[in-house]
Amino acid sequence: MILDTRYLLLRLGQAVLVLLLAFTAAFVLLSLIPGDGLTARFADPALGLSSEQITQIREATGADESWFSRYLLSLTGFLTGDFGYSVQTGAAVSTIIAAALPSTAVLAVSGFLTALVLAVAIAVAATYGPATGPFAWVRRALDSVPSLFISVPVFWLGILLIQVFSFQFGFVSVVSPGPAEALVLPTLTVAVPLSAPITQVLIRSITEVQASGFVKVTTAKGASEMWMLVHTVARNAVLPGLTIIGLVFGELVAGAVVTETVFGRNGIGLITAQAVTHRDNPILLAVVVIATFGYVIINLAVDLLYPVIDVRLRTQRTTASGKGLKNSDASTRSALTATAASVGVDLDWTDDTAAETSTETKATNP
Amino acid sequence: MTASPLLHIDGLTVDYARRGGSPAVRGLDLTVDSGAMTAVVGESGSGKSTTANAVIGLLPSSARITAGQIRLGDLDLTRMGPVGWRGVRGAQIGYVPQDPGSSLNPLQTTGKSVAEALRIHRRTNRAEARDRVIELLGRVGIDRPEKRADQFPHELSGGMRQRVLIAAAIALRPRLLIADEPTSALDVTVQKQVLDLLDELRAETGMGILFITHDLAVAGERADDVLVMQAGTVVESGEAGRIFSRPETEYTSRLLADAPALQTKARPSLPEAAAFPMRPFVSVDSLTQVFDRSGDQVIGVEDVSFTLDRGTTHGIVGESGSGKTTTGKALAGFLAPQSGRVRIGDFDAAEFGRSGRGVRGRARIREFRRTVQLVHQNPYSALDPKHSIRATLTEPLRNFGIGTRATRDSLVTETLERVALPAEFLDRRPAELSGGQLQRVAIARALIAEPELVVFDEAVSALDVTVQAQILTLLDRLQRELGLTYVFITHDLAVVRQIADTVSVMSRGRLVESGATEEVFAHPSTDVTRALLDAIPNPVAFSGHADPHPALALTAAAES
Amino acid sequence: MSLTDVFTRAEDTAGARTRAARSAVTSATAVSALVLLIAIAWALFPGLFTHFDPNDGGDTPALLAPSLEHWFGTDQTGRDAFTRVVYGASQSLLAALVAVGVGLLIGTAIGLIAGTRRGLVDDVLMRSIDVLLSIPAILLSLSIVVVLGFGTINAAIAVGVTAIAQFARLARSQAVQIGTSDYVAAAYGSGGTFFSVLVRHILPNSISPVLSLAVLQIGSAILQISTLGFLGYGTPPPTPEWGLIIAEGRNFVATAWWLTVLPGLVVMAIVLATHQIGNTLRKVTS
Repeated sequence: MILDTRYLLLRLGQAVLVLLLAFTAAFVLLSLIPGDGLTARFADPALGLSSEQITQIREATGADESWFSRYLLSLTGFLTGDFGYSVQTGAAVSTIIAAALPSTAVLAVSGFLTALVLAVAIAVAATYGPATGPFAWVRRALDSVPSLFISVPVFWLGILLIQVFSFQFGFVSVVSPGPAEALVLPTLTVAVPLSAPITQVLIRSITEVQASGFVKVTTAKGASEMWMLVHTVARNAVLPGLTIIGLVFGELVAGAVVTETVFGRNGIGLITAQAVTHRDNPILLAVVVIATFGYVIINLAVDLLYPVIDVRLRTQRTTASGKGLKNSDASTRSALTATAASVGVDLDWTDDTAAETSTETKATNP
Repeated sequence: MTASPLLHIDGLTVDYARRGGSPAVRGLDLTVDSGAMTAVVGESGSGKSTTANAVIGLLPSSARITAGQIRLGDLDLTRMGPVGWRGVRGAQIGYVPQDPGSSLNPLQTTGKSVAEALRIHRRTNRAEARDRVIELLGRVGIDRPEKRADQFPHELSGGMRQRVLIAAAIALRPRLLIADEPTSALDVTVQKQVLDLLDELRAETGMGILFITHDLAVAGERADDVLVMQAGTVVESGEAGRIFSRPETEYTSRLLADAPALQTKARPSLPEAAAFPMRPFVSVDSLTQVFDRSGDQVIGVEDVSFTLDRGTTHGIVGESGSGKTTTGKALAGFLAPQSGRVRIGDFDAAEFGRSGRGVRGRARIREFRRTVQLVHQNPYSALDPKHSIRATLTEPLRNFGIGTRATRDSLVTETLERVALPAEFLDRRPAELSGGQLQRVAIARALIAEPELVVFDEAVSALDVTVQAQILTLLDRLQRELGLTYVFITHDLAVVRQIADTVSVMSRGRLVESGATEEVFAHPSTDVTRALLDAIPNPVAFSGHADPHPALALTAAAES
Repeated sequence: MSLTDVFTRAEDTAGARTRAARSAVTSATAVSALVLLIAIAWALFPGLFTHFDPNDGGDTPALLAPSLEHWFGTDQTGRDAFTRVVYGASQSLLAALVAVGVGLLIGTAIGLIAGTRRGLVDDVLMRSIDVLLSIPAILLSLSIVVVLGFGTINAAIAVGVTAIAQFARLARSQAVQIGTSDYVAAAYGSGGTFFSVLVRHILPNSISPVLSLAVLQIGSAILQISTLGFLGYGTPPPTPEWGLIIAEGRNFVATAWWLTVLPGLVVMAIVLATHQIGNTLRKVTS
């Protein structure tokens, strides 16, 4: 059995808990602390609303309820897909978001896939390129591509691409591009910084796999480099790559916000930026919750997918009975290592796990 | 057969690019005959693994063969191109690595790993490969090969994995098998099984084996020819029997003397210990701490009891997972056992593992820590890398309030002298010291608190044999000078035999046998002990007539 | 970025490449140090590097192309673009320092407490860190900016909060790893108390990776802050701030490329330099 029910439920429960807590935090931040946004807005004499009207609005929006019932109200609203109303336009937040979501989804998917292709290509070239000879510098240069890519300000990259491809070469029309044409530059803008952590994790895991004992043994069996890459290295190196996929979601959101602003693409990112400018907290709250939901779901999927690919996670749990909880952390752990790696931190969880097992045997003391 | 050896290495010199020092291997001559085993023995850094890597063409890219020839039959391996190598590796030369833990692709079933060579060299189709794999797995002594072929490496034990690796290496019936420390990571009983398997295979298939090891005893027991390497050069080579009975160089003699497995004489027992039939200094009474259990195997310890007199050494031996480390932790007061008592002098060690204590408890625990000190296995991790040796040694003095600010310095210097380290080491940091020196510092740190009992947890296992012998001699001397009591935890029976007066044998979390060392060794009463004893490599020279005296004469010289 | 990390790991195995890589790293580090020093000097003594006024172009023509007189050209009101970049350094670097400071102090404290206390405290603290991580960083910082209001320091704090999780995780893993190491066990064996061991062994050994992370984070903080500035939530105009400078130049992409390209290159070079230095530090300290 690849996934046991207990593990599944546990991970699901964790995901729901994280979501709930994130919602709570966002609610506190965006709804409670700002206080009575309504009064501030509608009491403005310029609007010419009578005090009865204001009272009506307040009743309708539940602004006078205690903070806890407002929280419950908001929570049930979110659970039923009712995200409240935009402070600025009065339109339902759900409608606004539903209208903007498809365009952002297209951008995110195309950006992500491009980043993936870029990352795999660079990583393989950087680890399997010529180590010696006249083209050795190519390999070294590719090695430093991730640190270059991650240092690029996304907004600047977008502007640069517009300058080069639209104004200099005229490849992409600025005035009235077709839908596919309009997608090219934003996709690149999202993909370049996104590819950096993926490339880096891949380079690193390929290098590690290359140095491992079983690769030497396979070479000693007479395997060629190509054979090794396809049969031995690829699958082992993909595991950490899988984890980083879940973690770059945050980067993807950041990329979308900035890219949509730069290119003036109507989407969640642009809406978010406008919401911040106009302090339209209900929209912001909805975006935060939806994005967090996306993050949690993707990482849950990666977590659940992990044992399917990594056989070690599969059977450890079933053999070491009663330790399910501990071992289910393993994939989370490697995920963390990957995040940390993307900013250059070596978490060394292997040591940590070893350390934790040794604390079991050693009640460390005063 | 002597006319054309299978493998012939002539004047092999391997250089590491820009290392600055001497070449990794210089002017090495070696032959391996079909059906024979040639062992290359040396300590770490002697160049033995470089030799093995050169033969299979897997030198790191920084290393180059600058002189010499390696011939496999008619093939000149030094002139082999990448494509040529692909034809030789696996098909003509098999390779068995050191660490079975990391040498199998974790995501591949063992069957696939074994079949890999067949598939790379396109010898068989899928179905035939499967049959051949099962045949091979059966050949190397794996039970239920059909089932094992579908299992993943992490589901197999270390010995089992090494068998799988051997099966993979012999899949194409190579003429030569390179075994690079194939048993170093294995328990001693498993080591014996693997070595037996290699013997059988070469008798059966007539392949030659180039055997790399740091263990002189293993080499002496199994090999036909032995080369002893030191710092990249061969110091001595010849027939195994001759090297063991009449070593020609001082280095080999010293290695022989230091190898604990070759010590035939146990140390003299301490007379005074027997003279006073007093209450035992240490008594462990049905100590139980079970972390987990699966079938017969207990993770932790269950119902362990033994006693130990003041001034004597008690050895605790067992394979990995036998519970010996848990016992050590309980003795040192780092563990509150689920039940049982651990009494050391007036202390009950069990009480210190528990939390919750007042000021008096703290004082008491401090007193206990002074009485019992623990020396860890790995000297590299046992010392704070940020602290100088002086700071490391001063810390217990400050914590225990020993001496005054003025006297502490001289106390530190004195203790360092005691472990035979010069005073200029005081201001160095751990990174600047070798493993043996670090272990001496760790011992000094334990001694400076003036303990009565010192628990050594595999304290010499991580060290080269010469260093190991020096430390053991040092410990012996310190015990006599300071009247210390030792508990010595190790997987190495030979070490125990050398240092311990009494011994406990542990297996699967239980104590299976206990008694005077010579008694237990001479008349083992359980299968576990017998298996452990059987597994100690027994070089040809010592099984027969040989004269052990030259070895013993040098023991004293080893401590320098 | 832990690119050098990849280098170091590769070095163990691939030797020839090793030395080349190592010398490349050291010369790259020297260049990076120089770049950072210049940036710091800009922030402290901007007047030494330029004699123009950052906020008033006077009667200089607008949108002049780069020349010896105006290295980065001039903007729409005739202000010297290079001068604005130089003066922008103080805002951007200050904000980055504040951001990293917030992350470092809060994150390390949380991590050390969680890693040394373990048990329930550990669980609660680290679960909250999980929650912090699950909200995409940019949305978290935008939400905080909305609450605190726009401005340099507020943007810095917002970015700092998103860095807390990284520091907490690293500090915790360090504390756990070191707390269970042999030498800490030996220190207890030498009569040490929880506090003395924490101060003498755990803290000194866990702090240097944390500090190198701080240097690495400065680069990301500069990027994030300039992003907030670009979106208009950071330093209000006319005070120069790097993100803002690029945002203003954006209106002239078609005619005055220099107003965006050159400041962007400067930001990139400085971020790259901090990453390089951070990685070198990490290598030295570990």
